[in-house]
Amino acid sequence: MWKLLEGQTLNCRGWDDEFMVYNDVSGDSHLLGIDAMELLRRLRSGPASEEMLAEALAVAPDEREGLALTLEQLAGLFLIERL
Amino acid sequence: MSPLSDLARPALHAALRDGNLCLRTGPFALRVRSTLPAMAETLALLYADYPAALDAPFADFHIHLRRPRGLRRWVRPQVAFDMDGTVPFQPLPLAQAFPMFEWVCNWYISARAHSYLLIHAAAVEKNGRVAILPAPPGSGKSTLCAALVCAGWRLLTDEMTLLRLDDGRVQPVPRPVSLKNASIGVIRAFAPEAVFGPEVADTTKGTIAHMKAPRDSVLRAAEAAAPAWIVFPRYEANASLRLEPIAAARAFTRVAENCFNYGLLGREGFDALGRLVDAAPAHELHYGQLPEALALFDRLAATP
Repeated sequence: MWKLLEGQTLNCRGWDDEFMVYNDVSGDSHLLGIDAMELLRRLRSGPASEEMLAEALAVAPDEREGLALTLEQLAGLFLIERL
Repeated sequence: MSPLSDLARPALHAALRDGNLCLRTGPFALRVRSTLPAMAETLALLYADYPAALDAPFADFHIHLRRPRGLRRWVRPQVAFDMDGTVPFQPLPLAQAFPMFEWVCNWYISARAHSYLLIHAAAVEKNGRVAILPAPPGSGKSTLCAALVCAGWRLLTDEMTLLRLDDGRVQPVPRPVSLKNASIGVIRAFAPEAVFGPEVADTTKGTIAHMKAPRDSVLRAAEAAAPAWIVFPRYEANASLRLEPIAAARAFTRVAENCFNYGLLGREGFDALGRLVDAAPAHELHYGQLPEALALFDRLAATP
């Protein structure tokens, strides 16, 4: 299961399919694509497993590896964490 | 406050000697102290139009430039910035006293003015709209800024854009435009009427000369204006003029990289930069000829 890191408000600005997100924990800003942003938005409504996220975002089976990698990258940025 | 030019030269020398001279540039009051005759002469030339006061009760920044004591008084004399008895920077050759004064001003602003988002960028205004020109050294930023100012744009800054956090407007802090090496000759040829301070050779940046800010820009230093364009200039010899749009999110990151205090401001900085990118479309400008670049800026200013 994944969840937003405690304290993240996902203050963000979006233009076309690119988003800048302010990281309340690290103070950094991150440039994210629309898929990563959708993941964060889904997690804002509550913790979710990788399977739940894949279903919510209509991730095809051959794209699951990319989903797992993106989750790890978001965790590496201290935006999300494993529950 | 009266302009510095109202102060007779003996009074100026005395005020500098005693540390009583307070100059105002934009929102900042600078108290200046120095017994170096060249400092008085260059200030009198380049800061003639700036509001000045003697014995002002408060100053934001205190700039004391003095000659180090000891052997350096006699052999290869130097100038040092004295901050309450400490010398935070290496002394420089005496001839570099005025560039040091300008660098110390920049240092004070970048270190202390955190009620603004501080962008390493020139900013000029026309018809109430501001063009912000962020760029690393060597990109032709100051040359383009000087040419625009000589062509009628209002100088807000040639070095450090102050973006107000409360309303997103650009706060002017017009100071002499620092030009380096070949740019000095380029602007002298482009605008023979421009007033320059002395050329100072062998600085860490090469030869430097400061161009006097136009009087109108100095007198209107309290008039903030709204940002309308972000233009990353890139001078390339003989390049044809190209203005290429930059996606907003990419512009955000590039401007952030050019900020002095973006990280320090935290969410306030993020919000201020977001508003800026919303308000001012960003472009990369490749130019090889100043007149072409100036014509392009005038076309931008003429758009509704």
